[in-house]
Amino acid sequence: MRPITVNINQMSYNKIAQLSQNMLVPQAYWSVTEAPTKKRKGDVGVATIRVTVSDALTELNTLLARDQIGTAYEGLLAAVTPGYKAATADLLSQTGTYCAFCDTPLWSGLVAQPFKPLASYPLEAFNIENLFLICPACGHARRAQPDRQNKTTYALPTNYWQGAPDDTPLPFRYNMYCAAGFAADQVIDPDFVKTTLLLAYQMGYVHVSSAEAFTLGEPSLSKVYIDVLELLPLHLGDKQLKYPKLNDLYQLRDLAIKLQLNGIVRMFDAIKDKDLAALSNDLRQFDLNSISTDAYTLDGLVHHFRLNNPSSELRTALTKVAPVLAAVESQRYVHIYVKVTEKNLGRTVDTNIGHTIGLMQLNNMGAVRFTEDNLDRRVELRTMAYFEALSQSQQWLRVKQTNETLTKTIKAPETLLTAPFLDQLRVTIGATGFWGVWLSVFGNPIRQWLNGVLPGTASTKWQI
Amino acid sequence: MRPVLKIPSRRVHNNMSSEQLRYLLLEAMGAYCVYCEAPLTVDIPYAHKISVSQTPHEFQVGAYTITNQVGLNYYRFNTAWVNQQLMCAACVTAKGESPNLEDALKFLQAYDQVNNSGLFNTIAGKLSNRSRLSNDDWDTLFQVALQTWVSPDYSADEVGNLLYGAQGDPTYSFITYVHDSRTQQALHDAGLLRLDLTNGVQNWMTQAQTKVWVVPNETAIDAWQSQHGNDILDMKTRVKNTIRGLNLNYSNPTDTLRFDRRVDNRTEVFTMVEQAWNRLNNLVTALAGKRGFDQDSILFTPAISQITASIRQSLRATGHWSLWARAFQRNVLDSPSGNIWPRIDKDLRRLFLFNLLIEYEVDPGQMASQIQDFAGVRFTRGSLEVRPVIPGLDIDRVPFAI
Repeated sequence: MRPITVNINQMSYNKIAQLSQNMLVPQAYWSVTEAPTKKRKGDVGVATIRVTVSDALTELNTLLARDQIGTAYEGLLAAVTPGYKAATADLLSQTGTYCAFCDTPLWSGLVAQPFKPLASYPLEAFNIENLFLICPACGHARRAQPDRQNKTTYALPTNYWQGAPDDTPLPFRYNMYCAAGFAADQVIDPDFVKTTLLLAYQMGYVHVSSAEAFTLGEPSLSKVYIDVLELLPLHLGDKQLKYPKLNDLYQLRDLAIKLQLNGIVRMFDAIKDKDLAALSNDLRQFDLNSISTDAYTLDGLVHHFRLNNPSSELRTALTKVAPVLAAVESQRYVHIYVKVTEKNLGRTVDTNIGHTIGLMQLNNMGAVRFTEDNLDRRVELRTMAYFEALSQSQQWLRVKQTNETLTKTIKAPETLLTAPFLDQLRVTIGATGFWGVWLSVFGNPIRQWLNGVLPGTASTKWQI
Repeated sequence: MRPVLKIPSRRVHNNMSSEQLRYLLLEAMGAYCVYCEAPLTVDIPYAHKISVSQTPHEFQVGAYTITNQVGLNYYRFNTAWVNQQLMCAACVTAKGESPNLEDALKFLQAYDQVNNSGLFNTIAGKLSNRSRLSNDDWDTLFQVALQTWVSPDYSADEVGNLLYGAQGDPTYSFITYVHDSRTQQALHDAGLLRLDLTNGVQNWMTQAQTKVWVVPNETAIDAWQSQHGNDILDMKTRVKNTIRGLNLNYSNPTDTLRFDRRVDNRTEVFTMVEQAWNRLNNLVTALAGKRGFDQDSILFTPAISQITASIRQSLRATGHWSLWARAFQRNVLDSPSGNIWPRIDKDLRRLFLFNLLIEYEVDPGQMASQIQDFAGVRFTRGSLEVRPVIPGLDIDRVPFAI
């Protein structure tokens, strides 16, 4: 849902030219409006008439208005050449090779499609304002919506940003979530799941949503592990967390302290400093009191907290975390993913963005099942882009540090390393796509720089 | 075309869905088109190496008139691992239904003229009589069909045993890229492109375009053939069959649909590779000879490693591994130019290239140490982990691998 801008004046796509193209349709399809009577040389057979695309669309519209959806309607619809696809080349050159809705980059097979489908809105199908590059996954996910009965207002990538001044909060956000499920028979790399997840906790990147458990054994989900493994090469060094029976409670304490120091602060803003101090105390006491054979589960951990009388917020916090940690600890299935959601700032645009996200099923892993031409990997790709951005943001810090050292030691120019790194980052972002993900991870400082990276980004400076 | 090792991470069952198979392929080979090497995102069609199309087809081979389907036995090869391929939408569309049964039989005929095995008469006879072919017959046809093209992938089962003798061809050496000005007509005449000439030659076909074209590497093929001898089908013909069959050089600037952007993509990435090389080269040149940057250590100093890592990330994001590999192999290893490159030890340059293109090491302890003080946890440094740059690269067929 990157804000995009299209310059219609510089397009070679011509709606009128597309609409005035001729085509032959069976006379029998033509029932409502007056049939074009002029026969031309070369027309085949008595039962066939030559009409323009425009005529056919008007006929379709009338059929729709009278609710006469039958053979004639379907036949006519099939006969209308999808001439709007001719806008593809223009849209590609102006807005880049990304799906306008899910921001996935596509290296082939991206075509212009009307947001309001041809079958429901024949008269608007060829309008350039209605044409977007829509990837096959989004195209399948929306299932011919919005149709005529659908009265929902949707935010479109070309319009939701119109008139918004600089520093307007972006109406959607990207957050990393973690869902735990049970009875997974295949965990690709349990060590990885533990270590990356815990480190992501530490760094405050993971939100926990215990309510969302997925069905398991999905090959699509196992893929996430593999790619994430490549992209986030982090683990806890010699502190490999292994507690088959949770007998090593020291490690559990370490984990809890990390949660306290980083994760929980980010996750639950309501917790105050004194609560954190209390947690710290609790944990120490827990450590002392914990030589108990009963404490095999995370419920045990929470139980011990109860004994030590922590604040109610902390209890809530740990209860929320517990299912995920329990899944990690028992090497069950844990799934990390990045969700795009609307912001609830009470604006109309937030609501409309929410509608669009729902329409395209942007957060539904595998919304499009068993099609022969595409796999719905939008959530996976977004998550991978997020990890890629995280790793690049850390790399950026290191590059700056190295450059500073070089400036001190050998009087190297201040941009010796940083300038080529940023140029290279531009290439990586362009190929990885997902504008909003990069903006979310790097934050406001890069918002202006980022506008120049992906073509056609509307130049409003969004507050992320 | 990069050499690919196609090993499934777990057992492939006959009743696996096309979706499951594609995810297994993604795990094994990485999300890149095997033929044009573009990254695959959501456009991952279910595709086969050898056609299994059930469309009826009648054709003449030798003395036999055969009425059968276009592809090989659907039930045997539709979900067979050896016949799976990860391809982009443009490559699938261009590839269509070839290689197919007809190609296989024609090849088998040529094979029998040399080897006199009688296989052709047996199989073609059965097909023309419409009698049932045994599984062995179909497997023979499958292997024969593989011999009409070159394939970048080595197919193995989940424990690494070679399947069907499909060990893959040295496509990285056999296929190269040239950046120059050519017309589509000329490429068509050279057998490197398939044009639809039913409406005559169009204007755009005769206009020269400066792009990156895929061509056979004749030197490498000649060297290979002098070592291995001529097969039934000349290797150059097989390479041309592949390039033409996939229509890898098709570029129509007047097409408003732009469904097939492979030539443009390739040219765009080619420019990115050049720019990345210039960045690296400028940096190495600027730092060479400075304190701490002698010719033995310069490529492995933090400064160069960090830029190399960002170039590697670009490679993973933009795909087209062969373009990156060829350019950096040429510049770093084969004919290095500049002040410092020729003076760096060749093995060090080789290692550098290996780290950039094939496998690299990360020090997880170093990354985690950023939060060391904060979290009060001590991390071990120096325990390096090896990661592949792109999954599924067959190192045995990469000429500069160490």
